[in-house]
Amino acid sequence: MIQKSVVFAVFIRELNARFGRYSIGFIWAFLEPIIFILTLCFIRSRFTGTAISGLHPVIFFASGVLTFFLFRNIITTSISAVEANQGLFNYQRVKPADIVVARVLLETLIVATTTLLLFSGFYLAGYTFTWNSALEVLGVLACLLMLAGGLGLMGCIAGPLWHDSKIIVPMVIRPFFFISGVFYPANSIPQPLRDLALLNPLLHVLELTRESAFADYTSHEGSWLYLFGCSALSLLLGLTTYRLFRITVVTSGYIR
Amino acid sequence: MIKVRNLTKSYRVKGGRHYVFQDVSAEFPEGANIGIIGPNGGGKSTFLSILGGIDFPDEGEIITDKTFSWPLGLKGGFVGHLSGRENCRMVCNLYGVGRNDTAHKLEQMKSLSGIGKYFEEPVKYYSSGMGSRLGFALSMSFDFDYFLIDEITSVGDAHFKALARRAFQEKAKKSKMIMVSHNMGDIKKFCDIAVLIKNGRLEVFEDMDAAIRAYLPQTQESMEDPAEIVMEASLDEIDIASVQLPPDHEELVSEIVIRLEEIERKLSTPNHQITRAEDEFYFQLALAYHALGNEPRALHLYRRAVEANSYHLEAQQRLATLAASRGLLNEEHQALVAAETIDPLNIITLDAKVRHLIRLGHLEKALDVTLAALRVAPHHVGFWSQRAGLFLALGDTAKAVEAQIKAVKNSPDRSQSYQRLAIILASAGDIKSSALARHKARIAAENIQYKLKTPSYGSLIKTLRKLDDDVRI
Repeated sequence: MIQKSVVFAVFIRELNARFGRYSIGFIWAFLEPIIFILTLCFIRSRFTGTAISGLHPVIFFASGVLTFFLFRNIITTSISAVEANQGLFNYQRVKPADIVVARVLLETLIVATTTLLLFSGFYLAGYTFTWNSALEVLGVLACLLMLAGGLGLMGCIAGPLWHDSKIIVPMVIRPFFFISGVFYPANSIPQPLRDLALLNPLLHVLELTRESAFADYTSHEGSWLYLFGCSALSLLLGLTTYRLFRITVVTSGYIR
Repeated sequence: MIKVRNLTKSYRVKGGRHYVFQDVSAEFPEGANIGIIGPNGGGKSTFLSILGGIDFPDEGEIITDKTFSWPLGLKGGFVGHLSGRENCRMVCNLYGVGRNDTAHKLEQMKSLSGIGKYFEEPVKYYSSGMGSRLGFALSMSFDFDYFLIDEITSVGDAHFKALARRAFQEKAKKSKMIMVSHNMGDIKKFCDIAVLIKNGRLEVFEDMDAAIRAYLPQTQESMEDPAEIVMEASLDEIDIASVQLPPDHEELVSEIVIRLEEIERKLSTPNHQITRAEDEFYFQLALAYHALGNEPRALHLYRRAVEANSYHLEAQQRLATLAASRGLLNEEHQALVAAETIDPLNIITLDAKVRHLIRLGHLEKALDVTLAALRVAPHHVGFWSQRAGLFLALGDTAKAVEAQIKAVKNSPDRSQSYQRLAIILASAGDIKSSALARHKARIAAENIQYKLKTPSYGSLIKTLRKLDDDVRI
């Protein structure tokens, strides 16, 4: 398993880069979701103060923000994967996909750690919830990683070949924060709109995440089948794109 | 086996593509160290990258069953904010080295690279020399069939070079290298065959010198066919007849010609008699030829004079000078020895001896002779100047400057002395004073009206008339 050791090496290198001795990355990785959650709680508490679809607002927002961030970070970091690691391609074993995989692993690890810390905090602070099914949570996570990973593979190709992608992709992702149910449940969307909103697989991710994790969650709009279909399609497209252009992105004479 | 098949590689440039290789094919012999040479931007590094599998051609391929290292260059392929150790550990991880082996290898790299405590510092603080040292040490702890080396031999001090050579020699049994270098000396020292990459083509040379000749610019022969170069030449070609001698000179020259013919005719007669001292006769005749410029004849006649009387000082001295100018160092030596026995402190002899010793390369001895000569003639410009030149040649610039200043002091108006002083001052590192001396030389030169020497035909005629009388048949 050559690629396993390569991914491991790149993972360590990425870990170093993000949380190196002079980096505030470590603090920021935890602070950013907390700021978002607090802001959402603050806005929300001014209007109503009660549970959202059976969940305490803090828990509701935290699950939404963290899941969304995982999706967003995988894609945005994949776009710069090749260019940020030009030096690594000096070693013929390193392929662009290794870096994408390492970054997906790292982002997952960061979000998992943040989640663990935050929810431990919530538990101590008295915001409790009833746990539903760990297996299902892993299932959604797998779908999310397929979905974001496929897009990330396309991103790692797009980044070097199409420079505007670094600006356009974050611009495209930003509205998804508002339409993917990060701070509202799917069943709160009025009906003609709800079906439209449910075309967005990320909304399914958020619905299914909460449904799998929390027994008290009362919105049941997420579809496993639809999400899995979208994720598989994304991964297929990602792998195809990667296969077609993996040589081009590391070939001199194409990248300016 | 390394086979290049139909390789095409291009770069996007403004308004089209620049082709580095266009449909290139070649095969490299087995088990040879390969040196890649060629002009800058010719594609040497690109070729190395393609071999190393980190760059890819537009078309074609390289067919091989060998393993290649990553290209070792000046940049080194390190992550700047990680320390040397962390970078090396990362590469060990990349190549799946176990934990224990890694620790062992890291110590090896640290000692081979010789960068000491910098091994723990971020690579971005390294000089390019340290970066490539570490890069070299890093790659040496792995096994490859071929090490790809890009200009790396040009960096590093002698100590590191020696270490590197030894490390590579240990490897050399199993591994070969493919190196790019501008240093043809290195290529020849390290490589068995050469590959010239030039103008989009790739050529394999088994003969290193042929490759270097094909690469380095060569002076071309004249366009004219050498066989057609005309060797014959006539004075008419340079139009010398268009000038006329002054009327009195014309007469004198024709008489000189007649007199010389007459003397030579008599001398060639078997029964001729010379009615005065033979050595003096030959010496005077030699002087005449010498003055007119017929050096071979003069040399011959000086020899005759010396044969007749080996104690003829002037004849010996002039014989020495003429012999030297014709490259007969032995004869010069003999004449000088003879002259010295006559008068060991004669200035002219000593001057000739200094020149003789310099010609033989005995600089210290020459220096001693100038000292002896200056005891006789403390103001002799020539000896001071000689001393300055000798000190300069021996590397003692301070003494050279002093000697040349003495020379200038003894010849205040001589442009040449200042000119030499300028050179010696510059050699001593004092460019400013040198500039002043040079300027002084220029002023001195402007004040001199150069007179071209013509032999004084008048006195020559007198001598020749006398000589003509002295020979009888």
